Amino acid sequence: MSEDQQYRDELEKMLQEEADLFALKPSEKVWQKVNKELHPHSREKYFIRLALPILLAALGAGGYLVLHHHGKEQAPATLTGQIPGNNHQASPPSGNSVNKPPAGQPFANAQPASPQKINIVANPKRKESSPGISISRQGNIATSAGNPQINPSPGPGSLKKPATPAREKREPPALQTDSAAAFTLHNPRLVPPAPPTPKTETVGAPAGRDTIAVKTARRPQWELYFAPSGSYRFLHLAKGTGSGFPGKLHDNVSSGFSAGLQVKWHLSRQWYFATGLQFSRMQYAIKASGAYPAYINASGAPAYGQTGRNSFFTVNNYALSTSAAISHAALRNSYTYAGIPLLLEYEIPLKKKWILNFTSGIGIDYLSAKTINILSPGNGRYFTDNSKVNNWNSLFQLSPSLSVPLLHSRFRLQAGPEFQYQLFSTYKNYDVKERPYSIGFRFGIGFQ
Amino acid sequence: MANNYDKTDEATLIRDCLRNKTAAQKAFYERYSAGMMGVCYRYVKNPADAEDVLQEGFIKVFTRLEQYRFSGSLEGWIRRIMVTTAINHLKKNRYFQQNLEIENAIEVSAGVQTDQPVQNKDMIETIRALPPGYRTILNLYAVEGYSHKEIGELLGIGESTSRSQYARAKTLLSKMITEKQKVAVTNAK
Repeated sequence: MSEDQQYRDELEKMLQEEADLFALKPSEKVWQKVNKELHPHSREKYFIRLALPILLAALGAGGYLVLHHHGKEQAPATLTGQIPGNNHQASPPSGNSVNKPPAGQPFANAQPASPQKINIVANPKRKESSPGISISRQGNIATSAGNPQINPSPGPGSLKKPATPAREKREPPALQTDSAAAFTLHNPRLVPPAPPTPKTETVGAPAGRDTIAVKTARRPQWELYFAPSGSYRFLHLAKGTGSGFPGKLHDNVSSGFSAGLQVKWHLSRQWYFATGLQFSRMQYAIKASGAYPAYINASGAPAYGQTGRNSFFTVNNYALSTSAAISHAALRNSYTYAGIPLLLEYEIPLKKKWILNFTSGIGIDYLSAKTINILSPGNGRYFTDNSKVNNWNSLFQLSPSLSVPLLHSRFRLQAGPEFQYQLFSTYKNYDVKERPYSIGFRFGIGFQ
Repeated sequence: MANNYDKTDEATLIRDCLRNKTAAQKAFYERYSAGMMGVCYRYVKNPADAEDVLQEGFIKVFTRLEQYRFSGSLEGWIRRIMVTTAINHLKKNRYFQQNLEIENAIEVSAGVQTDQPVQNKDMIETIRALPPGYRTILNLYAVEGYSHKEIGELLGIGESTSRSQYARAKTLLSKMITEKQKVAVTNAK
């Protein structure tokens, strides 16, 4: 018998049993103090959570305003375009003549001519002051008197065990102390059996490596997502245009989508950095009804004959028609992006393992704008421009979303609205302002 | 909010606590606070001090949680933190008196008379009625399972001092329990 065992008697056994069974519920203020210590700036963070997305949106809007260039006069270009067989064709331009039609009768003096080849070309030598950007259309302790409310013991025969995990009588682990050097506890009297291996993830890692909990927390999270969207493009009218033109313009809600693969890393407590690959497509359609002049010249006045491609749908956002008989026309365009998003994400944990995410950032994208089509469904007439725009651009993205766990603990469903906005004009070398935006709804499957 | 973690396994709960999720931390606290409050209550003088020790102890637990290597039980790991926190609290408040003398110490060779069972709360209160030094050594040796050598290193005393103090504490405790039992028998009559 060891020297310690000789002191073991009934009293000590009773002490240990009684102490193990003894439990007290502390007052609520203990948790409040602990919580406050762990989250000292919770109130400030609450306002930051609300203010940050608004700030990011404001930065995007501010960037738009800074980059916005209030148009300048555009040099006229030659209007040439292929008009398929029809009876109403634009009169060929006669030099730079400007013919202002009478109000209400814009085509009164129009004289049909023999079919002519009309090509719409842009003037590459047009002077630019800035990249024109146009929008074409994201135990108890009682608090009184310091007397504790001790959990009553019903009797020695039916002692109620506190709701704690299976207790050990002895543990042989290391103890970390504040002032003294750490030492290892070892009680030779009672060496407990090795605790059962946890049924969940086991570490099995030698000392010095991260625990499984730390590893799990630091593992990057992947998400595969798809977001159908619709855009309602607000028309941007260049300077020089304005009232006085007959007819109406109607934006139609057009469709689009974005999709991609995203990976995010844990930066700090609730912040993540996300990147990946993203593919987006935006489309818009503008319907113009009523009577319109044949074209809009550089100064914004209606005229016949000469105009530039951009005059068709961006500067003035008016459809062209060569005859008063045309009742309406439609402008369509589409934008395709492929790029790498650079995003910051903030997580707010909710009940039942749900998470509220706020994601915002910009992407480095390569833009390809489809051939511009101006279609008149009234008579099948259209003006076609064969040029394409392919250049680097950037998409601003804002998306609050809700993340919920799926059947398996490592998979999550993420859904929420998504706003995307093109920061730089599609046409960098022209006095054209096209910065489309879209609002959609994003669905994603995340896994870790 | 903490109810969502009622049936959560330890590893998941720890992982979410490491992610600084308030709900997980509160669930963690509620799971172990009652037992740990009992531990703290046995060491300190009054309930207010016990709550202070508990608060400080749980802050240490959460800040050091990533050090837990899943070797041994989590409750045991938390208990050790609470014990050292309680001892540091006693040292800081100078509750220790290393050299204590007992009037008329009586060595009790036989065990405590158990005809009248001592209730759980009475036993704890009896322990708490001991002087701080005796109480601490008694708790560390008889309840927590520290050896006298370890107690000496923890309290900054010699091993022999720990032994003698423990013997005196046990003697005094036995005397107090016996007197309580006598009172209980007298009242029963």
